[in-house]
Amino acid sequence: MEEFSAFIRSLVLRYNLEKLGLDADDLIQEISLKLWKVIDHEKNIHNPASYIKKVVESAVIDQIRRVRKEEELYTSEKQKLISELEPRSNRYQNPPGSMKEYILKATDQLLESRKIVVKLYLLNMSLPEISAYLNYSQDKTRNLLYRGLSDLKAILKEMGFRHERLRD
Amino acid sequence: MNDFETKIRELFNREPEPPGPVPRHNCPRPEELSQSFEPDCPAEIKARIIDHVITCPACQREFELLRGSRSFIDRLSKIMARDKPGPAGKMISVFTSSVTWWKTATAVVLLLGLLSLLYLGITYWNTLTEERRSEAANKIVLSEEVHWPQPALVRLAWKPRDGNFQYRVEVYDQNMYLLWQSPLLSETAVLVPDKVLEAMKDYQYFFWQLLIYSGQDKVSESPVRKVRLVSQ
Repeated sequence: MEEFSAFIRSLVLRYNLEKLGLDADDLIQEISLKLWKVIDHEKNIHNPASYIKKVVESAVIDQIRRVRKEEELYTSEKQKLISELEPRSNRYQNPPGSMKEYILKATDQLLESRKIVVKLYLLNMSLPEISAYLNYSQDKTRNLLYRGLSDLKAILKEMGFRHERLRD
Repeated sequence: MNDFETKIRELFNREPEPPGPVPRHNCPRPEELSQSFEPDCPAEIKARIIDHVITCPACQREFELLRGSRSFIDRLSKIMARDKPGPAGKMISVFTSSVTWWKTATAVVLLLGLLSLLYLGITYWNTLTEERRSEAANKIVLSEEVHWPQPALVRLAWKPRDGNFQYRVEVYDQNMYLLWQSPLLSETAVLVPDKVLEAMKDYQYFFWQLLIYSGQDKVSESPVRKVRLVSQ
């Protein structure tokens, strides 16, 4: 639980989610409280593992909804203020020519089976996490990831993407 | 290759986070994001969600939050599976579970079991005591002094038992009908009354038995003895 609390706090801090109303302590407290109830009344729950999953997920989803609501308010207010000054797209775009954009363009050229594995990898997921997410064996995932990354490297080079840090 | 793996991820995530909230466009609902982590979620849905998440910083945060929660849930489930009780533990948990009727039924069965054991124990103890008593009774030494027919006199005697006991004598006719029962006696011999002797004048024999009492309770009884009435 301590580790999970640390993870939530770091996430809130990194993305400045407190601004949007996501209170790490609230979320942790809510989950802890519900989990303690499970432990206290364990005998009444046929499948505690599945119950815990529901508790944690519903708490997280509630928080996401709350954040989205806050975001909506924030962006609509902001857009009201700036809409008169400049027309803008309501779609977030990576800054043109940014590293992220290049990498994404290259990733989109990968074979479908390898693309999703590479994208999950870019989303900071570990090999076991990717395997679990896609319901693949770790061997299959590793194979797809290595081939995908190898293809990505070649595509990036073909695209003329030269970055000193990519040199191995 | 290893170097590339690390660096590509580092470069991809190096972009600064957009300040504040970003406008959303066709974002999946939070439930859909969460659903995509389920093993049985169709691959096309997963692919569609990932295609969106990787380009949407807002959904990326939420995806990461859900990913962390999933990892926490998985670890918790593993701990719970590891702590699952074995067969013996399961047996114990049956008694500690909250199913009330189970508890009641178990308590009733246990109680009945205990009562049965108690009853069997008491019966066995009584049998043992009875056996000891008959054993003791068989050891009682009885004797008779008979003068028959004139003057008719029958004296029944016995060796006293150790302890504070009282005795009763019962006399039966040839058909084992009770003819006479003495009062409780503290002596170790008794004369059969004349009226009883009169009733027995045509008899060839009679039977008698000694009953031993402790207070008002019969403790044991002797075997029945047959006494011949012959001219002396």
